[in-house]
Order: sequence, then structure tokens, then C-alpha cells
Amino acid sequence: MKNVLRKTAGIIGLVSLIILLLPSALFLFGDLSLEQVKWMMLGATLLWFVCAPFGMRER
Amino acid sequence: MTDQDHSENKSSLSEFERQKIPDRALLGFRHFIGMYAGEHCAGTELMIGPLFVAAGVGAFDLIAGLLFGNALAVLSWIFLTAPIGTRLRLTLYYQLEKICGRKLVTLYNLANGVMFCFLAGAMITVSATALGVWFDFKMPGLNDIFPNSIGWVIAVIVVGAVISVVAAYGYKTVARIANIAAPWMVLVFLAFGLIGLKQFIDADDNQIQNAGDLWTLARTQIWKGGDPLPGQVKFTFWHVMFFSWFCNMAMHIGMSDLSVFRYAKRSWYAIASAAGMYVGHFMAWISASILYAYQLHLNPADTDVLPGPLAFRAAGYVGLLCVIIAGWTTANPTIYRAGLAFQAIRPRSSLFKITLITGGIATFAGLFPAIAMKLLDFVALYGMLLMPMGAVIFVDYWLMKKFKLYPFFAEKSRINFNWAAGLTWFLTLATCLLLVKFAGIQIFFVSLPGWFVASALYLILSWGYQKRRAYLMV
Repeated sequence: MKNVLRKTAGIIGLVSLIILLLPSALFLFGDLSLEQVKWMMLGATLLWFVCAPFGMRER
Repeated sequence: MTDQDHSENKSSLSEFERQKIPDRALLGFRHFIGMYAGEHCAGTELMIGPLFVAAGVGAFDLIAGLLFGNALAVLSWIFLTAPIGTRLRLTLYYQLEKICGRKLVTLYNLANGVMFCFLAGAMITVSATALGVWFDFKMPGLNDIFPNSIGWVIAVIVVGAVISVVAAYGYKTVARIANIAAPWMVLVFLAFGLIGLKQFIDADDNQIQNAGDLWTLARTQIWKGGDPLPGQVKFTFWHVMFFSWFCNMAMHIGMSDLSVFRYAKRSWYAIASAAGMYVGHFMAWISASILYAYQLHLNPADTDVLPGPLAFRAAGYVGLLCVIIAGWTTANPTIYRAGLAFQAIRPRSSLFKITLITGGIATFAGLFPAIAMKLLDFVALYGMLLMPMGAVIFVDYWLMKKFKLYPFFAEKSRINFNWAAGLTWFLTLATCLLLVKFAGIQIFFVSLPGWFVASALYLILSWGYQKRRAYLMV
């Protein structure tokens, strides 16, 4: 169960990193406004900091 | 913090402090990739990139200088640091103690600790600029030496106090937050660059159809070259190359990372340092410099290098969070390391108290914006100060036996202060300072001849010194 939770958090964390970067790339190509980019990055940041502590393996 | 917490913290950091690393503790290649990529994407990158623009750097000089300089830094780790680290598998301090003796290592610790304090001060300065966006107080300008508003003083004291207390209480927690934040931070830096680039494209309605158009934009609007801003040194290709090579000089040529590579199974693992160099010292510097160039493009009179407002303009609250976390997570271990360095001088003092005092000194240093605004010079000075000891270690390992001299002389002769090493350090620094002062060699370049001076001096001085003290050998 713990393993499943960790893997799920890891996948969500990875998705949040993609969401973090993607808006700025779309902004570069003129597909998003800067305001939209900022809000999407904020959402992705929250998601990352919620999921990453569970998803990252203890070293 | 309990004594047990102290000892747990200390033991986790000083594992195998006075012994060779056993095979079971060796680490794989991926560990080093992660460590270098995370460690070299820090708050100070947000100062260095803009300072390049303030120094009037041109596009070709910046890109080519960073490519070559970072490659030289990686090669320095591969060919100078890692081969010794993986052969002897000792910490820098233990190895230095065997060569130089305990008292000289104490002096080295003091110098290292003081420099760590100033570096942490610059990181506190960076974090405090984020508070300026929220609370809208007057922040320092590019050429300010002293704090210029009460709001700034309060912000630095608050940030410094939080960082210092956390460093003293919960090093492990912050180290964990730093690990979690590292991939996020790298991508936020990349986003800064992409957003800044688009802002430049839109600013003058530039049409970018191909790579040629992009390069034209880069050299005519972003990194235009020309005169530096008032009070700044003009940066050419050579400045950029030497700066990016030597900005971590204390770690590679200065051999601080012996303590890291003693854990590597193979010496070629040092190539992992490329992850840190090309993520932190290439991509992050370029991204940060684009943000500042855009600020100058909008208003050429607005020359303030303030990471908080720069990041906020590009990425809003995420940008501010990045500035705070980048400054905090790097200032924290820096203060802790400085505390450890000072504690080595007074081993009976509480690490908790020493870390708090160290944090207080770093906070005081952070009040003065001159350290952050002159970060390019400070980083060069930091590398130069510790470089001679790196040369001593190099010569001691590779050349002493070839010249029929004893390596690890302090240990073998049971002395506390190896004057050959001590004089090498002092005379090399004096030579470097004289070259800067009277020969017109800028501080960014002087460490290269300095390394050869130090190597030659250590051999010559050891020859005389060991001959006179041969009776002490055990």
C-alpha cells in the first residue's frame, strides 16, 4: 500500500513538473498569456510540494 | 536541540571523518548527478547572470565563455580532484591535517568559515529582495555599499534570523526541503529564460522565424556588449571563461570536493559535475541574465540587480518563492558548514551556539548589499584564497615522492604547523595580490598563475624544510 502511494505521488509529481514548464513553453509560442502562465505555474508548484515528499525515495 | 540531536546531525555529516571510506559506503554515478545538479542551481545564480549583463557582456562572449569555462571546470574535477579523492578516500580536512598539521588546518578552517559567512550573507541578501516585492520598501542599488532603508535592514534581519535558527535546529529538515525543491527550482529557472525571451520578442515586435533571427535578437538586444554599467568591470570572453572555470575553484582546484569524491566508486564519476555546471552555471545564469536585460530594455536607468522583482515580473509568486527557497536552501548549509569550520577551531563549544553566532555574522554581512552586488569579484577572491592549499594537496600526492620528499609530512614528523605549506599559502596569496595591485592582472585571472606559483613554492620550500627536520621523522 505504501509502495502504491509512493508510486502514485511520484507520477503526480512528475506531471506537476511538466505542468510547471509547459506553460512557459506555450507562452514562448504565443499560445498562453503571461497571467495564465503564472497561475498554472503556481498550481503546479503547490502540486509538486504536496506530492514530492511522498514520491521521493528516502536517501 | 538536544545533545542527541546535535550528535546525530554531526555524525551524519562527519561520517568516516578520520578514516578511509569502506567499500560498502561507496555511491553510484546517479548520486553525484543529482548532488551536483541541485547544489549548483542556487540563489546566487540570480545575481551572477544579471551581473554579466551589467558588465557589458556580448552574446558570443557569454555563450562561448560559459561553454568553455564550464568544460574546464568539469575537467578540473575529473583530472585534479577525483583521482586523488578516489585513491585516498579521505576528507579534505583530514588529508590537509596529515600534510599541514592541526594548527595550519585550523587557520584554513577560519579562512573557509569567514568566506562561507560572506557567501551566506549574499544568499540572505538575495532572499531579502523577495520580501521587498511584498512589503514595498526601498532596496539597494547596483553600486550601493551600505543598507539604504530601514525596511531593507528589517527584511535582512528577519530572513537571516530564520535561516540561522533553522540551520542551528534542523539542518536535516532543510536538507530534505532542498532535495525536494531542486528539480522544481531547475525548471523554474528554465521557465524564467523562456518567459524572458518571449518578453524580449514581444517588446519590439521582433519576428523570430529561425535560429538566425534568435541569434540576432540575442546579440543586438539581450547581450549587446559595449560599455559596462558605471562601477562595473567590462566582461569579455576571457572574463566569462575564467569566471565560470574558477567560480567553484575552492571545490575543484582547491580540492574541497575530495570530501565528496571519496565516496565515488570510479574517478570518472566526476563528469557528473557537468550536470551542475550546465544546468546551474549555464542555463540558470543565461535565464537570470535575460530577465535583467529585459529590465534594462524597458528602462535603461533601472540598473538595480534585485532577484525578487526580476523573478516576480517573470513568474509571479512562483518566482518569488523560487528566490526565497533558492537563497534559503543554499544559505542554510553554508551557515552550517561555516559553523562546523568554526567549531573545529573550538571543539568544546556547542555547535548550536556557534551556528547561531555564525548565522548572526552572515546576517550582518547580508545587510551590506556590496557583497552581493560585487559577487563576481567576491567569488573570484574566494577561489583564490583557498586555491594554494589545493596546489599543496596536488603536489603532495603526485610529486613529493618523485622529488624524494615525504608526503603527509606533518603526520610523519608529528608537527602541528608545516611551515612549507603555510608559507606556500601566504606567499602565493601575497604574489596574487601584488599581481592584481601592481601588474594590472584582474582578480578573475590571477589564480591560474597563482596555482603554478603555489606548486613550485611548495616543492622548493618542502625541500629545505624537510631536510632540516629529517630527525623528526617517525
